[in-house]
Amino acid sequence: SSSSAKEITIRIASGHPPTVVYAGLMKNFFQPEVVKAVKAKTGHTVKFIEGYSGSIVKVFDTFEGVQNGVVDIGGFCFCFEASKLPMHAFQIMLPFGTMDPVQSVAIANSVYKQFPSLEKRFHKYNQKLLARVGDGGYNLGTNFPWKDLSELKGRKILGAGLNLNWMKQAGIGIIPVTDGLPGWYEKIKTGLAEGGIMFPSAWGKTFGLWEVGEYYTEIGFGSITWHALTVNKRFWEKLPPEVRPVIEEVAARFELKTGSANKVGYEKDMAWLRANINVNDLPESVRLKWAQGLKDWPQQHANALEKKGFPAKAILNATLDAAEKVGYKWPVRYVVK
Amino acid sequence: MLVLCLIVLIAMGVHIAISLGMTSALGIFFTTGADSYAFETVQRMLAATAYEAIRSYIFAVIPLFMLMGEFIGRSGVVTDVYRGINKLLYKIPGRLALATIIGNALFSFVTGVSIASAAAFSRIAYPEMKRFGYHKGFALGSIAGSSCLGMLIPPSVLMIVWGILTEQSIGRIFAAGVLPGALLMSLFLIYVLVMALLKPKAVGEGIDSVSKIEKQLIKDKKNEVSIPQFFISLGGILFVILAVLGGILSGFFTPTEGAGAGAIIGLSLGIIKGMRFRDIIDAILSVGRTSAPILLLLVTAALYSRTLAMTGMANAIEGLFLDSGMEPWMIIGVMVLIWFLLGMIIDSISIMLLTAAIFAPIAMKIGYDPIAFAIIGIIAIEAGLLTPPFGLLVYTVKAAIHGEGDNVQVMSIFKSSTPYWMIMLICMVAIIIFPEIATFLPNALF
Amino acid sequence: MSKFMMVVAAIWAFGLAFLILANIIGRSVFDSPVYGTAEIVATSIVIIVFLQVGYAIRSQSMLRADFLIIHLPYSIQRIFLAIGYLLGAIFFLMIITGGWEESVLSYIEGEFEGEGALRVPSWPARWMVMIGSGLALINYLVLAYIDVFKPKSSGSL
Ligand code: NA
Ligand code: NA
Repeated sequence: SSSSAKEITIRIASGHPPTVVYAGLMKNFFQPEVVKAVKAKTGHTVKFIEGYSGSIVKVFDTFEGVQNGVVDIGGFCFCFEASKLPMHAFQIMLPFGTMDPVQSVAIANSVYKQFPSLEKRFHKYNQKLLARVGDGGYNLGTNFPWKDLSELKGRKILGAGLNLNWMKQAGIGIIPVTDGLPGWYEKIKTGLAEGGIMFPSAWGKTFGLWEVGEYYTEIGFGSITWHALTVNKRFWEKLPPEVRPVIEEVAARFELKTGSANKVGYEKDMAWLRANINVNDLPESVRLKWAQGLKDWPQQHANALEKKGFPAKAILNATLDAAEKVGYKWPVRYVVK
Repeated sequence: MLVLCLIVLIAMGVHIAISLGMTSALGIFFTTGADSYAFETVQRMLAATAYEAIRSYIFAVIPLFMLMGEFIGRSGVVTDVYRGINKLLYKIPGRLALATIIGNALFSFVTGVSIASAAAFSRIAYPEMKRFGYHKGFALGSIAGSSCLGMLIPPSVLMIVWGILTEQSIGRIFAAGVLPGALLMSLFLIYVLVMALLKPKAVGEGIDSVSKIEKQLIKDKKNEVSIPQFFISLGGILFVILAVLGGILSGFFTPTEGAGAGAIIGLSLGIIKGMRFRDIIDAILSVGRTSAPILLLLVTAALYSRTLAMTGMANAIEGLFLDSGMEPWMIIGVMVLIWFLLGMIIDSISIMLLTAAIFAPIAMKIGYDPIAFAIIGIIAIEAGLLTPPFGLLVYTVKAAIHGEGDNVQVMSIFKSSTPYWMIMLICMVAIIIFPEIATFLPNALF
Repeated sequence: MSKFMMVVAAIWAFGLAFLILANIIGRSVFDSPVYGTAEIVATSIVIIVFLQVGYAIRSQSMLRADFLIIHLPYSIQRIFLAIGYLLGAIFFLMIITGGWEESVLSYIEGEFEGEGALRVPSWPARWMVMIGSGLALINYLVLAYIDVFKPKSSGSL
């Protein structure tokens, strides 16, 4: 095939800068691995045009960008597509899940396999799912110390999208506040918010939130696999057929890598936070109390989604089972009927 | 190629928003394969950008700050303050021009656009200066020159647009503008004082005419401001500054909230000063007319900067600067030169849309503080408002005095504005050398 | 028509100031912000701009540079202007052709923006983009027509 070697140009983009773990892996792992593997296995050369940090598409319109062919491959968060991808946030609907990103990716992978509708949903928007992306586990950072849920009453805590429900539905009396991550620093600094639900990397060096909120509590909301890498369907179909499986193979490695890199990163970031600010270790009973406060919410949310025709009950149950299969024990075993 | 296409369209007098939009369309068409599918991509991207680009809380800041300035500008508060300062400066040579500058600086804290300042002070200050025999060019030059403060002192539409384009905190940029604005105002005042002493003729004989002034003042009492009125007006403006800017800089407000509150406070002040329903509606409509084209420009500018990234042009231009072997100060010099040149042909906001997203990352890579660079850029771009042939402020002043029956040559106003332009240049160089002038306040506050 | 929409938009923008103020007071005095203020304001801005675009074009408020063409003969100036207006018409036509499908779908499928605080349906803003672009298109065509055929006439739309 080397006689007909082609140069393939791929526009790859994300609204996030490469300092965010998954975008960094896109740039420093996915891209070079694709170039290397395609060259080795097909003889074609691949050239990437990069659009990170929102230079081509912003965080909230990357999905549309891939759909419209403005970018060929895009990395984005389902949190900005609550309306088009409501079912894909199934791990958010089951808070206090595993904090291990490797497990989180494995759980998501298993659920997607059982419910092909999840992958098919992307076809509707003219794209194909290449890889899921696991995130570091969510905890709670604050600018005040706390030991018991009662101390959170009346506090203004930042969240994004669906995870605002972790506060609203738990009956603790938290005032949920929402803003894009870049706005969090000032909101906390100025007292418009007093904390936020965030993973350690962003609380630490990436977004510097530790400077304004010097308490980080390892409450363990869970590691969520709700970013993804998708490719424009038409672009995909026009690729030389021998290239497609090569990219798919790299994408699968990329997916696993997001789990393992975030796992290693989580430990490193937590160590950094421990060294620089006050990391609050809580007795398991506090986590349990919060989880109990949320025990009815998965059912409520599932009911709402079922009404819209999504198999929410089956998917949530499959997620609960898949987590147990990889060895995770839920603090509260949600019941979704 | 794309840049050339853009220049040709702009030179043809095509609306800048359309020039940006159609150039982007062409760019997207060619990068996505130049076939029928690419044409479809173009259309979808245009539609998506039209919907997404300004769908953000922060964009409300533009019309709301304009509303605040419009209410206060129309309330008569500014006239009171100008006359009051005038009275306080009694016996100081060139006091009318000095009062213009101080009054303009105060008004700058409540208005977001320089044109508003220029129009207001042409109406308020020019007739007075004329009455006292000021050289017309000198009088108008001081109005046009000091109106630049409108966008260099927060709130400022230029600062807001810069913050949006480069994703910097608008609150920090606001804070960064305060000291350079004060520096500029001081230099302007020194210049006028020196002129008044060296060339008393320019200020209607200056100090010698005190007796004449007294006679005049007695003659037209109606032009005077009563002490309570002066304190209501000054107090009102100071309250707005404290509440709105104080709120933003201390972090109690986001800029959008500050602008919203400011609009309401401005309205209240206007009502206290006797604004009628009709005046209020006029103010609202006038903001509607001026803010929509700016917001629409922001849509097409977003499209354009995305196209530059998509086609790899953004990286290429960046490479051109960074690999040129120029020293950092030379790179900044080239940028400033480009700004000056563009300032001669198009308006400030358009210039910013064309350059900020490209220049700011380069400046950051060569080690400039992004906030200080924002102020450097804003001064350089704002200076374009005073240079021929497109100096917008000069034309605003000229248009505003049209009713006075005066025929002052545009070039004469340009000439009198040149010292102000040079002072801005000095101020800009000072910030390039000592970025702390800009960064001190935001670092202390945030 | 364009003028009426401009008036509506200008007053709407003014109304946002009250919403924002209510949110500040609610948040700081009663500890209960007006939920969804950010989402409502964001959506409103899109609607306001596209309500105003037709009038902005018609009233010649769009920013442009005329430093060069004022030195050209009048007839050439008019041709350039007409070309510019036609490009404007094409630009807004492409926004419509590229966006109508999604606009219709956003209504049928109940698309919304925001989650958690307040869900704001996206169809009103998407439709306003279409309607505003339609008016912009018409206004550009009218301007082009006036420039090419009737240099000194005017009408109202
Ligand atoms: Na979106
Ligand atoms: Na100002």
